[in-house]
Amino acid sequence: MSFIVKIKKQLALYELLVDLETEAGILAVIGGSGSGKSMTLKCIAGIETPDSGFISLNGRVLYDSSKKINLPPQKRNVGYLFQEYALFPTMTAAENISIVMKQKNPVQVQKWLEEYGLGDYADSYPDHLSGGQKQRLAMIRMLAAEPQCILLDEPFSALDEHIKRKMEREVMEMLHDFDKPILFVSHNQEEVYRLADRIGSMENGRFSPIREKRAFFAEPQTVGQAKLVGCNNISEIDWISEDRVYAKNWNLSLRVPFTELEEQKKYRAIAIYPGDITLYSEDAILEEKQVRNKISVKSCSTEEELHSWAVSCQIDGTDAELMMLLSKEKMPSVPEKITEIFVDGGKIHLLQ
Amino acid sequence: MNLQNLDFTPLWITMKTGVAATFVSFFLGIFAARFVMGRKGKARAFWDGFLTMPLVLPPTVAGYILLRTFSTKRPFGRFLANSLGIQAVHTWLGCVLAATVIAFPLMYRNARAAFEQVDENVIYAAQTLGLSERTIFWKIRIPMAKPGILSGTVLAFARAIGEYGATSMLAGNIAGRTSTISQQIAMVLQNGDFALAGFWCLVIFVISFVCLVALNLFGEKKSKGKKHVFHRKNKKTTGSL
Repeated sequence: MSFIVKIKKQLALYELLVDLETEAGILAVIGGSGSGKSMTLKCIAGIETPDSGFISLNGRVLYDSSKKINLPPQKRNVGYLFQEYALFPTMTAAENISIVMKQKNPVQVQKWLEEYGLGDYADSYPDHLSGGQKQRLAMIRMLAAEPQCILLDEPFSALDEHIKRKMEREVMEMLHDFDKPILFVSHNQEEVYRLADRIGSMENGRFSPIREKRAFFAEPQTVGQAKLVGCNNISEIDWISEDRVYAKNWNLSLRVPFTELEEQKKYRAIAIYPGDITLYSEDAILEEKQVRNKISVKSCSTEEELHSWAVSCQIDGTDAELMMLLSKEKMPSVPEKITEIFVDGGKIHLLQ
Repeated sequence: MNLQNLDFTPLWITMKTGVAATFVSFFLGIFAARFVMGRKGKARAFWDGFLTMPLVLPPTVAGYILLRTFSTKRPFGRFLANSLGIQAVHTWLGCVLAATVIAFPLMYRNARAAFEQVDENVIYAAQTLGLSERTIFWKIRIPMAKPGILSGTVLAFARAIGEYGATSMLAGNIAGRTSTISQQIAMVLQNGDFALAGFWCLVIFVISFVCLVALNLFGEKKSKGKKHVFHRKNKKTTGSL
């Protein structure tokens, strides 16, 4: 079961450039709005046509610009779940499903509806269904067409937080037995972390290499990825030595992970998670003695968030700010006057 | 004016013309809407302009063009008459032709607006689900556009039964054959018969008004019908163990 997408398409603001290869299982594509995620899915489904490239699904060529192959969406067998579900409003729930079945089977339709709690709604129109019911119906309809892969286009982003997790679970249960590739597009880091096994990111139409999800969040590799995973303190750098950089945006010299001279030119920036900055020069539980950078700051402003304090500190001698998140549980209140903050050299991420 | 002696043929001619013109406009309008939606840029602007012209032109100009086209003294009209036996000038067919040309843009524009309002994602979803373009058009796009198509049909009918300018030039006012109500009104008014003219005015007024009110009522009923919800929701079996 292999799924290969290598496409190029010139868009108004940038060139879409996607190169991915995946197997069965969920691959998430995380990216901001306008990054080209949805356009990628539309090219895969055949709704939009790339300028050039190649798409194949399990050995079946869906698109090949060099051989002038461009299957219409109808022939691609690609399931596409739209954000607003795109149900057929003039058909009942049962009709929505049966129209896409190759072999009509009313008994099977009713069985599906009952299995997913829609048994009493077979004759209802989509307008009469709740958001959750619509989503389940759209899922049944998509699976009834027997797709060879599934594309999920921000399926949860329009939902309220409290029903979101329930719907996520429902969708995942329905996809549990689907042993083919699933591409899941989202801008929400937590959603992606919960649902996907592997993650690729998209910025300005460029698709990054796919990585295991924990690695993706623990070690962002580009400036765009750092922003997407919430590693928000970012500065451009010049190298001073093998383990020291000058952070241009912050006017600071910082210890960073040891990097060979020839490796250094790969990296153009650094990033620090807000949660990795502390107020202490030493932690009692520090396992390994690490070099801790000391940063002098002028003024700090604190915002109270649900579970943490978000403190923005202005670095001495600059206008630049560093943002840190302090756990409210560990620290019931934030000190009035902060003059120094600290960050371990090992916690600084080098970015390409 | 005496109702018992009144010749009702103008009413029947008008209704027959209206129904025939609406029937033709219905299909042509939907076809044209689909055609224009498939064009892009300049071609689209051109075709839309061309197809909308009868709506803005004085009907007499449309009548002049039709007359010059279908006149048996000219090549195309002569060809139709000689080879196919079709004659539009001074015949009922002329009534239908004139009414169709004038009523067509209302059908076309309403149908197109209705098609364009259909959520494109629904169409994309249908495509990815494997439904053919033909199925999508007839089973999804048309039903979703139904309110707009219906209002286009009713407006086209109302316009067709009231057509005067183009009809009088192409079909003329021949009693019992091409004399529609609107032509009858003009004629009897010239003869000074205000009562009879008023009667026919009332007839046209009532028919048109009934059409429009029926259209509004239908639209309202439709949106009310959508609210009867959750009819079987509370049906639970209460079995005892």
